[in-house]
Parts: sequence; structure tokens; C-alpha cells
Amino acid sequence: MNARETILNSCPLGEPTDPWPAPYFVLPPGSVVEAFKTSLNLLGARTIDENELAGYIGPKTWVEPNAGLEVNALNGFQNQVDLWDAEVGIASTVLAIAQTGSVCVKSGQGNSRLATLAPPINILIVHRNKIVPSLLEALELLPDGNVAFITGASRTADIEGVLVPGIHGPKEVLVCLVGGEH
Amino acid sequence: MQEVQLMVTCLCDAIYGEVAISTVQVLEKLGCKVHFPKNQTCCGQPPFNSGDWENSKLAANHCISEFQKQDLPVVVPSASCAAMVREGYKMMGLGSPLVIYELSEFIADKCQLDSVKTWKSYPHKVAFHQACHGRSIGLKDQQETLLRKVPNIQLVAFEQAEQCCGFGGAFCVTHGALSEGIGLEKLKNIKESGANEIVTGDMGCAVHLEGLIKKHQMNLRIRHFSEILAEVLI
Amino acid sequence: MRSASASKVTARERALKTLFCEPPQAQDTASAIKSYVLDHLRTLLIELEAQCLSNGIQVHWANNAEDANQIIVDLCKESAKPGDVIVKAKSMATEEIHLNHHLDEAGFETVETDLGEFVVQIDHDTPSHIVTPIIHKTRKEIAASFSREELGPYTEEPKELTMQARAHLRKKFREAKIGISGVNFAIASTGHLVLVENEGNNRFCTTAPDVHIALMGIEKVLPTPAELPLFLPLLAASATGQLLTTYVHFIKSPRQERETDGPKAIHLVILDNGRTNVLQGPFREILKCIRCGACLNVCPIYRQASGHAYGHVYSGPLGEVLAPALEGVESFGDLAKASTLCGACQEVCPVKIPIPELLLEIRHRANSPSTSEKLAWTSFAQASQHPLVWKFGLKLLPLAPMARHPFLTSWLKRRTLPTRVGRDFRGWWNERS
Ligand code: SF4
Repeated sequence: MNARETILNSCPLGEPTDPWPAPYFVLPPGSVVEAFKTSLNLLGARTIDENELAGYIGPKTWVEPNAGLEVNALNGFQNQVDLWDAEVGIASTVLAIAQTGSVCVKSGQGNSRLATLAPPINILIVHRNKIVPSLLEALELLPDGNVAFITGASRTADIEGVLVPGIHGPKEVLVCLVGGEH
Repeated sequence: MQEVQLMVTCLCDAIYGEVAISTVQVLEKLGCKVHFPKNQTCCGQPPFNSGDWENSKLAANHCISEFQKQDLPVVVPSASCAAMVREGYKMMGLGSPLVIYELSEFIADKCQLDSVKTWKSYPHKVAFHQACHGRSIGLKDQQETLLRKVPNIQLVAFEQAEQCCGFGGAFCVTHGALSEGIGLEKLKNIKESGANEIVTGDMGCAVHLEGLIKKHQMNLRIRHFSEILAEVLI
Repeated sequence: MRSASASKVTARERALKTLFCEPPQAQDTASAIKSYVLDHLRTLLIELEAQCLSNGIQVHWANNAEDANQIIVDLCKESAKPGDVIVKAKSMATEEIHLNHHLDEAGFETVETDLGEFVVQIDHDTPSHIVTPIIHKTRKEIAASFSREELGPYTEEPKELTMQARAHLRKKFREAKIGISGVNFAIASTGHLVLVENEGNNRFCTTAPDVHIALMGIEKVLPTPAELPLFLPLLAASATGQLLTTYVHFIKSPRQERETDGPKAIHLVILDNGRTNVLQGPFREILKCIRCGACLNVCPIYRQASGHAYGHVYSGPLGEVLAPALEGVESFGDLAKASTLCGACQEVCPVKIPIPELLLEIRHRANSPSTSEKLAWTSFAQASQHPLVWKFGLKLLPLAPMARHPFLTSWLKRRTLPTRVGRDFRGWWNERS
């Protein structure tokens, strides 16, 4: 018998059982956009508008092709830097979660994974009408493919419990809200 | 009138007689008739916790047969003994042969505290230590609630109040240094709160903490909550 | 370190209350789902395997640590040569099989990239906590190690030390041929490997190198993504008091045509290493564990002793059960004695594992007490069956110091002997009636 069979044969098949009750979440009060902003603030991240975004454009900025399509200020921007050496990474997102202040990024079709990871400053473009209340909706809408939820900046508290942002990924995460609410 | 049987516990039988006496007095003041099966010994917990279930069963079976002679609920001033009878017996395959209540649980569920009209005052600064074994019988804050009813008692909050005292039965001798460290930490936190009295619901914690208090000559005394109730209920 | 544990405890409670209307109900549900998983493990693993294969993830099965190490080393040899860098994300499963040792032997440069694990590695130390591995080290010690390894100018500032590590490890990520990680949850219905972390090193390990190897214990599978809204925040809150970890990765497939980065090959190694035995035995519930570390943080013994005292990669209450469950009560059964059975662990456990009960069960099965202990319990049991002997024994108690039992010696070393204060209950009762 190979390992696969040995292991599987020692595991039970099981009978069908009743479904379990759904976990009951505390939902953020008020509009999801406001709740999302509040959660971001608690994480030490903040929202910026398109004008402020324009201030981050420079020779060491990396703009994902997809993000370039979404914000006028980024239209036609040409990357001049190696992504590994970029100081600012600007990327688009597919979803955001009000309850936790998370954004969801999907790899592929003009979005890389490194753009939201390698540069010390990461700007994420979030559509107001793509913000959902909680993880419950986010996982129902989970896009196919390789996806990540990002909640605030990369962080560690390994040295004496002192919280330090930017251990490997971005030290600073900024969210640029675009579009209208539904 | 409610009739109950008292399980005295080894520790009260051997050392803390006053706690057992107070327990009887409190139950009587609350209108119960207390029986004491004289042939009772130990519930079997010490060997059970150490993994010696064979010897534990011998003690447990004796305990069951002594308390089954009368068909009355058992009341015990210790959550760990109550947990042993309720949960430990089940684990050893002895089922649930006895109906047993920890004292505060019995008072909360079965007694009319309002029937006692006057309560004496107890003007002391007290640190309440919740014994851990209450967790396994679902004991919540019954003991603390009882204490809060006592006029003029001052219950002080202290750091890490919910943490274990470090007794743990045989643990306190097999892992002496750890047990001592945890116990001293608890006592330090209590001292810092300004209390001069520790009140608990389990004499296991008491025997360990008292041993440390005396060794380190601290100015603290330990009482069971039943002793306070016996004093204040008129 | 103790205050660090205590503050994590309050953060945990706060996060749970922010997330769930009734945290205990969330814990009960999580426990029920994990029971379902253990009851249906074969079905779920077959489904997971099929999904992974159809997504392009290759699946390998390992009966034990030896096989797993062999599989992983062989995979590494396929895509890297001796001297090449292999970056590792934090994974308890790889610690369990001592993978680093085998990779080093095969000549690879294995680099731990979680800051804590990195410090452990350069110091040739072992982690003392499953979530925060260097909780036992001070900033001074870390500063000394960093300057010894020439990571930058000497500093004791956590921020600067962290930046030195960032610069050093960033180079390793760029160089690495292979990334190795664990798995927090594997989703049977979709084949997603779900990884959670705060630092971003996990994301680098699973993005930058061309090959990603993930090692998971068989119990890490969950039926569908619908379970994640419960488990993700429950794990984050229990581990660090966060609502969600900084990163949650849903790894579905190797790099697709439209993707510009990500590994070109992904291997999932599914590890048994004693788990199927545990599954069929009395300690089964410990397989529900999601490695959050909450039981360590509340444990009075862990707080007092720190993780190294346990002598096993799994420490704290979890380790007291898991180590003997996986490796036999004969070799690790004594760990179960290092507990007061206070039950704080069970209370905080996000999947409600009855740790104190399991410890009692282990003590029972491991019961090989010293002769003096056995003798003590035998005489105790004899006395307890004979009320006359019992009462006589009580009378003799004041003479106890003469008994010279090791228990007594240990007691007296640290405490005074209790003496009877006030009246004797039996005397009082007899007089009354
Ligand atoms: S046993 Fe429970 S509390 Fe401890 S690490 Fe596992 S899941 Fe967390």
C-alpha cells in the first residue's frame, strides 16, 4: 500500500450531518464606506483622494496596468523602475471589507502579487460600490484564482512585543476610494 | 424543609474543620436539615488526578455507597470535589450515581437567601480567589455574588485575578518550583491590591497558599466564603 | 514575558467581542465543524486532492516525518542545486519533522524568514511559542545576534533591528529558488490553500520563487470556503487579538498565463506522522487544534516556565496533549503532569478542546508512577475504604513529618505544613447530636 492509501484507509468516511449554525457577526453600523474608513483608521491605514494620489507619482512609482485604467491621474503612466526596487506600488482591488478594513487583491489580468508586497508604500484603489459589510459576503464573492486579503501594513511584534510596521511588505498602506456608492 | 447530605472533603476533615462547621451552619440558617454520613472518607480525586484510576475507583466506590444509603442530594464546600463526582466518575466509567452541588451553587439554585432578614456587617478588605475547578462544573460567579451581598465587605480587584493559584494537587509537589512561582505571583498581586484577607471556595488552593504565606511570613489570612456567611447571617 | 501573555489575553477578548455577537457560540460552531472534519476526513482529503490536481497543484502523501523530509528534499533537488537559497515561512509542521536539518544536510541554504524564526535560526535556538517564537529573548540579545551576523550597525531599537532583517531577508527572497510554507486551512471543495500571517514573508515565499512547497497535517482540511468567515477571524483573535491577520492568501494554482508572478509549480505534501493513530484513539479532539497559541498565553505553567521547558516543538497545554498523543504516552506522558488542570486553556480554546480531560486521560494511560507515589495512593485508597482506618489516619496527621515521603519533603521545601486551626468537624458534630 502506498502512503496515500495507508493514510486514507485510516481516516473515516463519515455520514452526512446537519448543517451548523452560521456564525453571527457583529455588523458595522451605518454606511459600509464609513465603517470601512473607521476600520482602516484603527489599523493605522488611511484613505486618500485622487489629488493626493497624484502626489505619489514619480520615477520610483510602480503602477499596475489595471490601476492605470481606473484613475485618471494614472492614465498613460509608464513604469520606469524594477518592481523590486519601487518605492510606491499602486494596484487595483476587487473587493473590500468594512468590518475588518481589508481589501481583496487578485493576481492576473494586469495585477501582480509583488506590487502590493515589495514597495514600502502601497496604494490600493478601492471602488466604493465594491465594499461589503463582513467576511461573510467577501467569501461568498471570493473571486476565482490566486487571491489575497490585505488588512493594514506588514507588521511584526516579535521583538519584545513592540509593534513595528514594514518587516517585509509595505510600511504604509493607503486606500484611494473611487466611484460612487450604490 | 430541604434535606441534604454533607460531603465534608478530606481537607476539611483533616485540617479545616471550621469550614465544614460553617457550611453546616449556613445551610441550617437557610432552612436545610443537614445529614452527615459518618463513614464517608474521600471522593477519590487525589489519585484520579495523578492518573492512578484503579486506586481512585476504590475510594470512589466507597464514597458512592456511603452517600447512596440516603436518597438525598449531596452538598460539598469545594468545586473540585463536586467536579470529581460529576465529571471524574463519568470518565472512569462509574456514571453519575450521585446528585451533588457545590455549596454556592446549591445556595443560588435551591435556597431562599431572602429568608434571612438581617445580615451582620463584615468590614474587611477581601480579595476573592475563584478556584479553577468551578470551570468544569459550569460554576460562574455564584460565590462572588454571595460575597457581594455581605454588608460593608470590600472586595478588591487584583491583577490576573482569574489565574490559577498553582496548587494542582500532586502538581504542587511533583513540580514544586513552578507551583511555588505561580502561588507567590498570586500572593504578590493580592498584597498589592491592599487586601488583608483572601476568600476562596476551595481549601485546596488554601492549603497551598497558606503554606506559602506562613513560609514567607506574609500578613494575609485565608478563609472559605462559608466562614464569612456563617458569621454574617443571623 | 508574563505581562506580554496577559495583555494578549485581554486583546483576544476584545477582538472576539468586536467580531461575534456571542463568542462562545462561535467557538462551539468552530468545534462542531472541526468534529465534522475529523469524522469525514477521508472524503474531504480525497476531494481536496482531486481539486488540487485539477487546479494544477501536485499532491504528495507522507506517512511519517522521514517520508515527508525525503519527499521535500527530493523536490528541492529537482529545482535547485546545493548552495541555492530556500526561503521558509513559519510552519509548525516543518518544525515537527525537523525539515531544516534535512535541507541543510542536502546542502541548501535554508533561510527562515519570519522574524522570530530567523532569530531562532541564527542563534541555533528553538522557538519557545508556536505563534511568537522569540518571546523568551530580549532586544539586547537580539541586538547582539544581529551584530554578530553583521546585519548592520549595533542597535537595540526594535524598529531598526526589524529594518536590518528586512534588508537582509529581502535579498534572500530575490535569490530564492524554492519557497516552503505550512498551510492553515485547505479547502476541500475548491482546492484553495489558505495561509495567514502578519509579516508578509509568507507571501514572499509563495510568490517570489519558482517553486512553492506546502506541508500540511491531514487535519488542516475544511469542507468549503463558507467555513472561513468563522475560522479566519477566530484564529486571528485567539492568536494575537486582531480581527484578521494582515495577510490571508488563497492559493489556488501555479502561475497562470495571465499572471506576471507567482510560482510555476506548487506541491502540497500531506502529512500523517501519527495523526491517523490519534484519530482512532482517545485523544482525537486535539486534532481540532488550529495552532492559535491562546492556550499557551493563558496557561499559568507556560507563563512561569516558558516554552523550552516542555522539550518538544509543541509546548504549553497544546503540547502537553499533542506531544504524547503523536509520539506515545510512554515517551511524553510526563508532560501531562505539568498542569494544575485549572481549565483556563479549554475556556479560551477557539475550538473548545477539553484539554484538562485529555490530560487526565493521558495521566491515566501513562500511569507509571514511582514506587513511592504508587504506595502513597494504594495506602490512601485502602484507608478511604475503611472509615475506622481513615479516622485514625486523620488523628495521626500531626505526625506526618515523620513519614519522609518524597511528596512531603518537596512540600516542606517551599511551604510550611498546614496545621489544624479551630475545631475538628467530627468532634463538633458528635457533640452536637
Ligand atoms: S489547543 Fe486550542 S487554544 Fe491551544 S493552540 Fe490549539 S486551538 Fe489554540
